[in-house]
Amino acid sequence: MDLLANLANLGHGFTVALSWNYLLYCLAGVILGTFVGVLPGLGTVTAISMLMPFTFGLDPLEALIMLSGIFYGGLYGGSTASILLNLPGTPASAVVALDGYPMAQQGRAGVPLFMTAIASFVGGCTALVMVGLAAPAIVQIAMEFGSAEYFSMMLLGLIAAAAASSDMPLHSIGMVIVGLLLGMVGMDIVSGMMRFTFGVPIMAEGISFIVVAMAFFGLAEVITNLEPHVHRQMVQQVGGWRSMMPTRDEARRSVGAMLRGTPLGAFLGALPGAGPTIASFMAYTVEKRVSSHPERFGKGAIEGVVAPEAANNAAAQTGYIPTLTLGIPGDAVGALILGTLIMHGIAPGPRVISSHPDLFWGLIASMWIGNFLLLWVNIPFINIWIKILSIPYRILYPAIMVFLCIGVYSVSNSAFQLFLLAGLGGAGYLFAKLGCPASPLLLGLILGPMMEENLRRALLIGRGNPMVFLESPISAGILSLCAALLILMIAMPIVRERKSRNKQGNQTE
Amino acid sequence: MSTMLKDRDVLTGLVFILIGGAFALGAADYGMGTARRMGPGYFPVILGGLLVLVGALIAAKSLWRRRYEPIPRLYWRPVAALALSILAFAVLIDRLGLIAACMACVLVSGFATHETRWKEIIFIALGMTAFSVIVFSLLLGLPFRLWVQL
Repeated sequence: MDLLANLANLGHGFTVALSWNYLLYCLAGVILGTFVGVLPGLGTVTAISMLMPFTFGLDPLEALIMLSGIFYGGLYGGSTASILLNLPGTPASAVVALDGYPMAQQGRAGVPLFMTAIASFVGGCTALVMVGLAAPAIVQIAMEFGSAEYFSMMLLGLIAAAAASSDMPLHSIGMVIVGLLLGMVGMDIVSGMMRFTFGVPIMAEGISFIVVAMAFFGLAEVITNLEPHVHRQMVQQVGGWRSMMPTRDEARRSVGAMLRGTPLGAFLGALPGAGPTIASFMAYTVEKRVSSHPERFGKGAIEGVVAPEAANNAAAQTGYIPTLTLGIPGDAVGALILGTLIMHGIAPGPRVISSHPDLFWGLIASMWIGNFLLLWVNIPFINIWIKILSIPYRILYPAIMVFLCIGVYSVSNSAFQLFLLAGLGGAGYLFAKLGCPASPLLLGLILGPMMEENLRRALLIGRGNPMVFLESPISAGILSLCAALLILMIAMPIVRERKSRNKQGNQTE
Repeated sequence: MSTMLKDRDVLTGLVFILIGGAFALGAADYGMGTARRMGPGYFPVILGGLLVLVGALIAAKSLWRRRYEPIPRLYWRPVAALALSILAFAVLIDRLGLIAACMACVLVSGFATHETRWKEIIFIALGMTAFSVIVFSLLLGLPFRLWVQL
């Protein structure tokens, strides 16, 4: 029954997404995404935040379709750079380089490039079906959520994001809190009091997440890339269709890898905190475990390319589930998508699907179409993308600077935001040097005001007694998950250290 | 002493303690309220306190182990040049308009690396300015003033 209703909704989504303006924005997003994914040193988060100010004038679905296209297009383009240069365009595609680059060195770059396109398509499309099925079900649970449940859920999201983004848990937790504190800047909605605005009128609206994203991901990245020891290699060309065809044996092995990578990625992507990057790493590990010839990995095993690629695209799509159903993003990109919803006046939460069905189903349908377009944007034109890949950075970065400046200025047509960009960019560079990851900060910034609001409301209802968070079974369950995760985060490094110490001890004996 | 202060984790801890402390102290003036009726200072004070705690833990862990790992070298040239290039854009965009701001932004950013070839930078500046004027101002219709007469 529900299934039929969902299918009907999806069909409706396609009629929406197939109108020419949405198709155009989808194509534009996918091309732009591949472009920035291929360009070394320009991540998808930067690209999405850079282009976001220019989508304010569009309708919300147009904006979401284009920004999403940039996201999954960027993941795909990132793999291209990974395979050809051993230089991942995005962190999620770092794993693809492990086996893709050796294949390229053997002069068979065409095969992994072709197979990543197929794997992305399969992974992405399969995961989208799961989004269409799972999201409405999750919404029904989320409808019961009160402030206490929301607060606990956000806490879980933040802790999970911190756990996922670095092997130094305290550093990431610290960055989450810095983000939450930055989210406090501006007018307090309850009392109307100005907090941390230093008398600057524009700060009353708070620190824009777009400016923070561009500073911490865009500017800090450019600075790092300009460090004198960063060097880049040149790439060879790829031949025609024939050189892209895998051998029959490789094709057979790829099918299994895709079938394992896709559900793994889809599952991990839907969890808060675990995005495409983790999914691709896990998929690689699994492939190596199940393979009867693990020694081939790292030397050009096609499974090591296909499974992570299917997993990271699947994760990218299911990552929309928590963002669109609960209003709780799982990673930095989810945070930006959520921010886009808010900017267009759509209150995030379980009511998004029922009150904006066109938006939700249209977006899902458009991502299907986008994954299909990606094949046609990429495979036939691979040599053009390779040319773009070889643009020297000294030409690229001044152009990025202009985009950053114009983008940040357009957030509120004020030069003040640019001063903020310069300052935060320097801070972002320092944090990167200290080993503090930036995405927990961005998540904290976006969730900060919502968390405070729900905390206040929950405690008002509970008459100031914090037990209110444990009285509801859902909230209590989520909080115990939080506690378990925290313990795991703290215990894991200790266990690992013991192990390595034991190993060292054994070696010296 | 100096190796201790250059340690990555000790520095991280100090940075967190400073940020958390500053926010907590600032927020304490905003009115705490009670848990039931939270004032605007309540949540920030808690967060600031937590951040101080996390910072202290990070620094303490490193001090206790006495295995110091200095932070990787910071390169100030790109930081300064890119900050200046943004500031140039910020100062010029409202006073002289988009064309001057774009030109200045690209030209100043050229100082960020020694690989810069100045002939190239001039072409990039002209190209990006033309691109910005055509795409952002004419096609997307963003409200930029292109050129302001002094």
